[in-house]
Amino acid sequence: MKSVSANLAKAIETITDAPTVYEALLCVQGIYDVDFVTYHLTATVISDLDAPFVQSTYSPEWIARYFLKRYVQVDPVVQQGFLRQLPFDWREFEMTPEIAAFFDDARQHGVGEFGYSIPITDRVGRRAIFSLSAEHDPKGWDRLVAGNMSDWIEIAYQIHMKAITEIHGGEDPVPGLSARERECLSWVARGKDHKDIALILGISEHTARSYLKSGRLKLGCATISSAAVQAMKFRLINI
Amino acid sequence: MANSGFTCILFRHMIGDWLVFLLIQPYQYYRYAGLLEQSFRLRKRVFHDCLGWQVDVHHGLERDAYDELGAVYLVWCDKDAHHLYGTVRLMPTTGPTLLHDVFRRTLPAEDLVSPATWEGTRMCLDVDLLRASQPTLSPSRAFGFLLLALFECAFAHGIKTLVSNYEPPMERVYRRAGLIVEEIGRADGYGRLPVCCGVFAVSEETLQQMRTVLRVARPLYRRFLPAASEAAARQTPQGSDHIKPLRKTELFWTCNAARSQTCLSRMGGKYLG
Repeated sequence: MKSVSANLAKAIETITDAPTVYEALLCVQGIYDVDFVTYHLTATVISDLDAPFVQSTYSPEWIARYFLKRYVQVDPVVQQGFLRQLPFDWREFEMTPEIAAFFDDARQHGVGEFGYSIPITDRVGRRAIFSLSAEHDPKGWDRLVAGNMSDWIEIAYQIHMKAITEIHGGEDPVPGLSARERECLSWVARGKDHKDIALILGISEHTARSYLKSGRLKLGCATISSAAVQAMKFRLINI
Repeated sequence: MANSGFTCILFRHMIGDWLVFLLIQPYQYYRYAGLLEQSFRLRKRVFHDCLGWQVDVHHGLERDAYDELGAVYLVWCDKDAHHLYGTVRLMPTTGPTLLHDVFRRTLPAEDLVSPATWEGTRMCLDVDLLRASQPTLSPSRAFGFLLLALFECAFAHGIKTLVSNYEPPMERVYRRAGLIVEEIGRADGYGRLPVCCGVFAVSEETLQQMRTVLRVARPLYRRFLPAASEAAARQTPQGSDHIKPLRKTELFWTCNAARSQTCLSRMGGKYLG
């Protein structure tokens, strides 16, 4: 395996040392010579409050305008990004008049037209997007992306882990359930018992029971129904 | 050599028609619903019917829990996105994976979690459909094409490592595609044969090696960019993840090959993970 690039090593160290996610983003922006860097985590449970977590180096003026115009509903990075898994260049979007107008407005507020976004997923199924944008010429941007895309994938995940720690004031409280454990719990949330679940999933009752038990233990719950509720709170499952 | 020259000409002529590799991510599931349905049917025929795996089958489709978590699919189809020749599923190791949940015992040490390492699973081909469409293409070479497209796709997106679980006979398939698999562990108790865990470097060198062994001159997979699409439209399309939007009636076209058996044992290859 090739050794880690100098920029990446520096970026990871800086992210670890930075006191907040915001400051980490500023450092990454400087290291890779881009204009703006953003981290956006979809709704998360923070002490009973459902809220997304967004940190960005965009200017306060553009952020204010973004909220005022409710651009989150138009911005293809948000609208499509959480339905993507692989990194994407903003040039991959199909342009509608609405999206074009949004990008135009962004340009007029100092946001360059070029951007690259990295979707992030973790063991507990959270979805986040890490984006970099810049004013550039097409060939220069191509070179920047080609040369750094692998670095950015690593950095996106480091930022994500830092964000989880920052949100929860410490370690990640959400346990990593396996896909099967999540599947069984989601059927419990829909009112099925282990017999039904075994039938639905085509597994033995014994196996269904063990998935439910291991899921319940990971969630630290006394009963399977409270485990289902907790899993829903953590957004590990939904119905 | 006269022979290889002739083969190259035929190959270039055929490329635009049938050597198309499409990447399907969750935001495209609806658009390519027909291809996805065909791939779940193909998986049922291969993994359930032929290989006898313990997999969930409903209404003739093989789907598991990971298909509900927004997996990415690389599909091999014709240029109209009607006929499915093959499919493989990709998932990031930072999320839930078969390696972590099912095949943990094949990992010798700690978990393999990295945003630049992705897991490949459920790779299969419709050998009969391919034989009908391309009689001179051997199944072995066809697997090589699918693998090459997979590695090109991974490389184009900045992925550095691919990981997969497979049974030992699969090594031959990898080798014949020009791939070097590094086995990092294996375990018994999954079936008749042990299951191995292998990692593959994704790099320029890997692609070069595969192209040399498979005798492929040009990329099979192309990442879509609107700026490039106009230029591409003027040339013969070789493989891109942009296909004209299908009319609604085409979305649910089902594969004629559903009638035929797709048995891997016929080609002497085995388990594909």
